Amino acid sequence: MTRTPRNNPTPRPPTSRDGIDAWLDVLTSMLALPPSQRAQVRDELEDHLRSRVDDLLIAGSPEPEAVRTAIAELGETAQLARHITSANHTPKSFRRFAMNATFFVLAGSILTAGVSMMMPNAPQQQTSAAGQTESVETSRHQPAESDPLNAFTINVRSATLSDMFQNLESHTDRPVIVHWDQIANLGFDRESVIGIDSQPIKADLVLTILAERTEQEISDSIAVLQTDNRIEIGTRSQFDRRTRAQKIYDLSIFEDITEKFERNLYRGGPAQVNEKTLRTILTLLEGQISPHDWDTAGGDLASAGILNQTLVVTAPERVHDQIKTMLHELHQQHIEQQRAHQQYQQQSIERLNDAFAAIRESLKNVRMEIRAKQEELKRIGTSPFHNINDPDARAQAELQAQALHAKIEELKLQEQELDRRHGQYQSMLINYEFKDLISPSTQHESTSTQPTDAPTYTVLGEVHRPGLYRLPEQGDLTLSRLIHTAGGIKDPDTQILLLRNGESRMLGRVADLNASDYADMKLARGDVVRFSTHEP
Amino acid sequence: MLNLKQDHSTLVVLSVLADGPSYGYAISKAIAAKSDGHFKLTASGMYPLLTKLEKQGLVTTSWEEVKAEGADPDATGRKRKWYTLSPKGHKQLAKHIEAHRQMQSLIDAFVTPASNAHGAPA
Repeated sequence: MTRTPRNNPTPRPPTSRDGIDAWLDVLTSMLALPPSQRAQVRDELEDHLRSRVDDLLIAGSPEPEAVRTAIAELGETAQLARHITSANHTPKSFRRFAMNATFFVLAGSILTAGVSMMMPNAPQQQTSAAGQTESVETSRHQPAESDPLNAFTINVRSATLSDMFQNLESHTDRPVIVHWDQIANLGFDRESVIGIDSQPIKADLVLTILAERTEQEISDSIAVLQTDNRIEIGTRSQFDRRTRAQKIYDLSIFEDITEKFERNLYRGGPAQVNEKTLRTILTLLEGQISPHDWDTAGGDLASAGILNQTLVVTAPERVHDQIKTMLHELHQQHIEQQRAHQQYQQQSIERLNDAFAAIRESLKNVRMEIRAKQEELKRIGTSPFHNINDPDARAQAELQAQALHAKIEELKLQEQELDRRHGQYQSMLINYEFKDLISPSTQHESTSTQPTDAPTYTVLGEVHRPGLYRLPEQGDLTLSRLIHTAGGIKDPDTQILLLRNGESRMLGRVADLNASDYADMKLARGDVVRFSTHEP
Repeated sequence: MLNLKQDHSTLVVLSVLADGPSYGYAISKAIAAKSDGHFKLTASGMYPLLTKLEKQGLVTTSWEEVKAEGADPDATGRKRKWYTLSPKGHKQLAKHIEAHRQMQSLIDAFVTPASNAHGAPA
């Protein structure tokens, strides 16, 4: 293809040889490349040199000097030749790679990562050719014919890709279709010399080496698709494109359970996933699974978006497989985290409960002591000694009384303080308990596996097993049945508090339950019943 | 975080080509001009890089026959290899620029003007 000719101030007849031609001869002889490539390199460098010389001449430099300068600027000839050769030829990394003794150990894992032969076992959903569904087999289980890719070795120093594929064809009775146009995108063509400095090796290994390198550089590689009736050789992206499908993933499983309770209690509604969680999942997906294939990274094989709480992904089958695995793992982690959080909350509540019990105990003791001292005081007042006219005895009695008064004052101050703290702890506990959705209970699984619409009720406070319970499927739930389910109460003086639809009602004592008018009360979905020994 | 090698030469060459198709010598001149001569990409570095870019499909190439004005129309001129940025190359350039900008802002976070008082690294 020729363009319109451009300005060339100093025409140079190509037939006369000069310093530039001589230098180019030397350089060309140092290029370890096929003749056609050598000619191209020569042409390009000649254009470079002559353009440079033209510029120097315009700047006033005498011709011999201009030529010397232009050539010198190109640097050391041998080095230039080496760099150009390796850029055009198979990179050195191949040779290093092939000679690496541990390569054969890596080969297995590379086979899985790379592309070429690892297609999923399930038949592909998308069809390319007219309505045929392809069942793809991995190279591991081959039918009667042994894997043709393993059936011969290649002289990898000098053989071309075309040689290799023709060889492949002669080792199988299935037609071998090579998509050269696609392979050209990788920079390979029929004449590409494999050029690995090694003993002959098997074809599948060769393809693995090629795949490894090109995946790193351009995120694509030669791939082999073996089906029952043919063998196709193309690129990974080409075959990926065929299996592209849109799938929807439900992310509501990542709901934050600790928030769910309050919502359900007062307003009801579907589970909510943290906005940040959704974005993190998407970022992880696009960063970990075939990062270069996503449209957000400039690729053209995969795209994803979040719609409400679902993840919509259009991508090749193998990407979907990886997504499934990743989501499963993330969900496991999520459940663990939620459980840990709940456990922590539960422990906090237990500690609070213990502290609260201790305060109550102290309060009781102080009150008992006050009563005792008051009794003593009374006894002194009514004792027979009081009326004796013995001044000493009376003085002693008065002293005693004063001491007792003082003591009682002191105790009353303590009582006040304890009472205050008692009130504080009680509010804290109520707060915590309403946030505590699940306590470890042997009677049910964690709600992450429970359907969100199961009818449940909650038991809090001083029972043996507070927690979230499912309404019985048979019969009504009365308070006595509820108490039994929750493992019984600790103190018959315990008060029953019912929280229903946002309103709370004090029902009475457990001890009075049977004789009361709430004995037959039926408990409903969403009810919260709290047992407390707080003294009114 | 993008997993690209922070190769400035690639970024520079691709962005020169983003301005329009060019050939080897002109590319090296453009690089020198744009950087006021501070950045020089030698032939030893540039030509192999161009070859690599071509192999990766980031640029497409074509040959032009360059003839002098007033030269004999039958005489063959010299051949010039033109490089054009491919759509894939445009995408790759965008990636490189984005990575460069991310790196830039990360570093900026360390070298804000006020940080000198706190003993910013030399």
